Amino acid sequence: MLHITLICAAGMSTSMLTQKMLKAAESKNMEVEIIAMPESKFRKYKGETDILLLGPQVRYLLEDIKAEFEPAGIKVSVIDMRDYGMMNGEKVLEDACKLLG
Amino acid sequence: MNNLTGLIEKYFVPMAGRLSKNKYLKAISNGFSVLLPITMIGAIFTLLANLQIAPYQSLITAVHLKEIFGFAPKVTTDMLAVYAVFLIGKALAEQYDFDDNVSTIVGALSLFSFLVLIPLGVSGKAEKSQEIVSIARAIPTTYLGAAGLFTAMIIGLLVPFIYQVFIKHNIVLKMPEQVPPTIAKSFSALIPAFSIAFIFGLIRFLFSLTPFEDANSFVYTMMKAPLANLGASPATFILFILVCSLMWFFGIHGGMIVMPFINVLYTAAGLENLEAYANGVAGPNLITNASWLIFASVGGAGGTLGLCILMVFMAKSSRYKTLGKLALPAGACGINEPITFGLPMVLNTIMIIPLIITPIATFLFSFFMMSIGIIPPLNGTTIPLGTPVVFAGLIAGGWKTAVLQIVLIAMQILIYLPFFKVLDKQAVLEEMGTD
Repeated sequence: MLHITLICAAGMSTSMLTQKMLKAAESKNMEVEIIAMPESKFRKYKGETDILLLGPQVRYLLEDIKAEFEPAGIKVSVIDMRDYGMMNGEKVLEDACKLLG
Repeated sequence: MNNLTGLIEKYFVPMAGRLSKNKYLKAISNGFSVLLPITMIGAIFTLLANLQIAPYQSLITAVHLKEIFGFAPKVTTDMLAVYAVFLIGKALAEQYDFDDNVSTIVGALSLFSFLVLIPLGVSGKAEKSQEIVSIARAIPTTYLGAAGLFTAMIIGLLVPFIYQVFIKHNIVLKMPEQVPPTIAKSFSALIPAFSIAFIFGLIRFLFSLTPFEDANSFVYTMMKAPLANLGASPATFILFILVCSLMWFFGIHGGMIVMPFINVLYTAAGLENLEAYANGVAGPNLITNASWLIFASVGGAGGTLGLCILMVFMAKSSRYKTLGKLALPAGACGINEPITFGLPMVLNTIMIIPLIITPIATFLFSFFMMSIGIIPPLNGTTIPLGTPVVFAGLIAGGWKTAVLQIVLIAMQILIYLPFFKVLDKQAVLEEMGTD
């Protein structure tokens, strides 16, 4: 089971993307859990995360978040602006899986 | 263009990062966001008690509902500073990465400090004899609401700061190792807690020697009143809109960065309007914290709801038609990331013009309509992010404000139209080329 967490300012627009990603995962029969939350909540979030994706509007947090969570083995990345805007769940999911190498 | 983007990524993005990571701004922001249920209780019950529909009024009066609805605002809206000082203090403590229970203690100490600055005792005219009577053991409510909100913010930031200084320099009571850690923790709070108690006791005493007599009167005269004047000027609000739009042009969440400042400057104005509304008079302030969502950011930053409608009904290119359908439902709730990143608005040198002009135009038009009395001032209800447009207007100002919001959407359509046509034409040409 793969755990992907999306964060943005209020967790609203990322939750829209989450639904699209889950649909894409379903059609691919992928075992994946995707959730969205505000960035302020993530630090206290106790659940599992393998891949952490930042909305492009909070990309200035990338350095800090990388420093904090990469040592714990979490892959951190910023979602491509265009994919984010078009809510291209399939592409975002694909890119996320590429992070795992 | 690539050079410009590089420059922005190098200088502008880190600057926005620093602003949004600022502990004090974040504490204000987080404090106010957890305060929302309390402000909403006050607002909704005020609305319920004051809906000016004659049969409704006689009904709720007859079944005592009016009386029951009236209880909540007196201890929420009228005492918001009490909740705010605790929650902001706790929020800043969390920013210092204190444990949950320590953060709660710091919140409680902030509340204590706020209360200790208020001298007890009230006096007023007795109802029957009209004699002046004084009651020593009563808390005056003057500074528990809007008037004390600024003091609450200062104390909510000051107390955790002082506490943190003690922790940082390890000035705490140390317990022998045999004492369980949880107990040791509550004892370790004693030295900073006593010190904070003494400091604020001293501050109250020092203020009693001045002509202001108490700290709240001082803060009110010296800071709250000048800041309220600053906030009442539409120029100030326009500056915030401008900064927010520019940030979004660079793809950075402008609202997140501007919001703490809006909270500091305009929350008290909203409370004053709500108090006035509860008393059946028009609110004194034309600009409140809800003005952002109701008049400027209609459909999201840049006022893009009109643009969504344009895309759905006017787009000739399939690209913008698809995007419009995707963006419209979210846009109706004030969320427009699909537009900002999908159109995109980000680094779009054509769209930057309406991105800046539209929210300022809709705000100024609304301000003008309120100034000449066609639209009543907002009633002071705080509108949560995600509330559907028009419904938000109905709650925050009544049916006239809801109608005004529809007019604002029409304004957005008109402003965005010429710019959108340029983009749409380009897209059509591109699409023909690829077929």
